[in-house]
Amino acid sequence: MQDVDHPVIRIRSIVADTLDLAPDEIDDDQDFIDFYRADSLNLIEIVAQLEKHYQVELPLDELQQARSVNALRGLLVRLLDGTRIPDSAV
Amino acid sequence: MLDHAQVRGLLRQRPPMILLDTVGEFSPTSLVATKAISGSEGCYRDLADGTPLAGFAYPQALLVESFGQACSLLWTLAGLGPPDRIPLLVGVSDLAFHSSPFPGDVLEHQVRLVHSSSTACEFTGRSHVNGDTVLDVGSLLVASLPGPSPT
Repeated sequence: MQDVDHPVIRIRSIVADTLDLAPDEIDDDQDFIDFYRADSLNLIEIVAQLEKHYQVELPLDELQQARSVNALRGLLVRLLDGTRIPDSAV
Repeated sequence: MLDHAQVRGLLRQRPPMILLDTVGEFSPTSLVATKAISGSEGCYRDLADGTPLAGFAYPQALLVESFGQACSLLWTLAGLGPPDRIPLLVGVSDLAFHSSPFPGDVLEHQVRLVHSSSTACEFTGRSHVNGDTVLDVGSLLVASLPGPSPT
């Protein structure tokens, strides 16, 4: 059984929900905009959900480089203290 | 707490799309605003003579827009974004429409701030007429974008 609190699973779920896709359709390394045709409003939805869940503010200037599940996870790991978010991907 | 002149001074919308009248209560995380629905509004202008009452149900799109303007006022009054920015609607989810409001009804929008950051703000709330819920809004998300300041 998958741990729904694992960050990669959580981020993938939020991305899939926002883009109206199934979680298993999301490749963790693919760019949301280039590969899934997400628009800027989709990205804002994703960011807002992550900010709410992890109680952290994601800086706008950093988000330009965080356009995949793994990139977002990396950003969260950097912004949080490392104990609140596991460092190993599924 | 805010009369219509003040509401109009704070909203970025302009007639005929100003869909709020007053603000009754405000805190940094919540707001209650009203809008009186009138039969003379533009949405009823083209209805034929003899249209039954059901035809005068207030359009759901305008109901959500009015709720959204209440969120916009909370965004402004609570200082959720700088004055040189405007709140842009990103999305609305978990909407539920209940009984329809009609001309003569006064909508009361109860808006609550759920999340705020420099990127986005999320609101939730509901709208009532005489204590009856006409609209539930699970989530209304806005982003702060550069724009003109209110005059």
